[in-house]
Amino acid sequence: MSIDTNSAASDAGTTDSTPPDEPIARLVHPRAIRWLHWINFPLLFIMIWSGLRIYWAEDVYAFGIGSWQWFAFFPDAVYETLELDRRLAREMAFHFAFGWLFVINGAIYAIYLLATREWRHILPDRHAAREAKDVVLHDLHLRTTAPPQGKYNAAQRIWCTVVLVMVFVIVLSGFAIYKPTQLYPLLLLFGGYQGARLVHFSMTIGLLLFFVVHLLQVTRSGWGNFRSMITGYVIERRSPSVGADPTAPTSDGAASVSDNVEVSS
Amino acid sequence: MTDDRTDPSDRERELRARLDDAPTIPVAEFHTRSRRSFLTGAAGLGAAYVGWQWLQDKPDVAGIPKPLRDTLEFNEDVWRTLSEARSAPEHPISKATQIQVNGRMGIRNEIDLADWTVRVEGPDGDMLDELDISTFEALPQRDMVIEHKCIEEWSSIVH
Repeated sequence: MSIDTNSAASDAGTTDSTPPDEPIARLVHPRAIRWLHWINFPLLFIMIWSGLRIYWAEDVYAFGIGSWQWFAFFPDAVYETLELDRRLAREMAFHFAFGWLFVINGAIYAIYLLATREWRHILPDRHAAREAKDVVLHDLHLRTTAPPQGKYNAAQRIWCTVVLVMVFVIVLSGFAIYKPTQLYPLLLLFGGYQGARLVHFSMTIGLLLFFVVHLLQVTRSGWGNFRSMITGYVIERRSPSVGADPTAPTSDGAASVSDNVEVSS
Repeated sequence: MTDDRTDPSDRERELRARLDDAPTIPVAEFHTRSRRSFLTGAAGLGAAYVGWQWLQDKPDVAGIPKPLRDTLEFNEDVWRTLSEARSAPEHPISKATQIQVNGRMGIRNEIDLADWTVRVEGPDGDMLDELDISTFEALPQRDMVIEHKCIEEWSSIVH
């Protein structure tokens, strides 16, 4: 058996030299995180949905150079497919009411991260950039092993931190657009009303992209990972010193990436 | 081995050490908790649906469901309390542009201001006064160049 085959086989969990311990459930997502995550989902949806309809009243943004337009936000087909009707005042009311809940939910999350020091699992450290590259290569099947990771891998940590910053910026720019006179200093920070508007819109597109990638990755990771956001736990067959790995298919007997690393080292 | 990690296993140990305080439970208890979590989730979904329907079924106040209208009024109170009176910053007149015209929906003919009056009514509909436009034109006038911000989010610096 060549070295390469061995590595591939251990990836599939067949040549595990250590007999697996009794399966055990390890907490990866504390209750507060689960609640905040699932409450955030419909709130963000309502914010983007009503925001899209507010934007529709004056949908000016497009990618292009000069008069040549490559892609308009949004093509008419988008509005037609979504069967939107033009009700600007109503959507603004939704945006300005549910915005509070979105901000409150986010503020509780921020406080939680700080108070429980959970942020240490998320904030990238100095190895993150290099490891994130390896994670992406591994995800694209261009690399056999994934780099070591804690609760989240380096790519997740960077992405998550970027998203948290984006959410912070989207809230700030939103307030600047909402009260441009009262919050004039804040408006200046974004380069005026139109600047704040562009930032607010761009961050929304960024969050939508994140959401698409997030859905793809959750689908890839499988049921055990998805379930952990509902129950909080993943099932492991290894001793407790092995890190819970929310991205790898750890549950129900499949060897996790960290198992593989341990075997090969 | 084909281990192309550039980091020693110290890195791995360091990362895992942070997870060691994560609690574990036996699988049997996991199944109980798991069931409970899914039931809670289903209840949450149900509650969200009921809440959403409740909001949609509320009578409209000026085109907006009442709870949302109330929130808008609450917002007004918040901002009135939080922010001191502040005027919109003024710009040099050289920056002034024509204001964007969204459309002339419902306006068939040119408007002759002389034909129009302003009625002042009390909250109960009592007619308090009726004024010609010229009454306002006779008031002291002040020039202002400000950025007019539409709720549609376009803005024009106007005189």
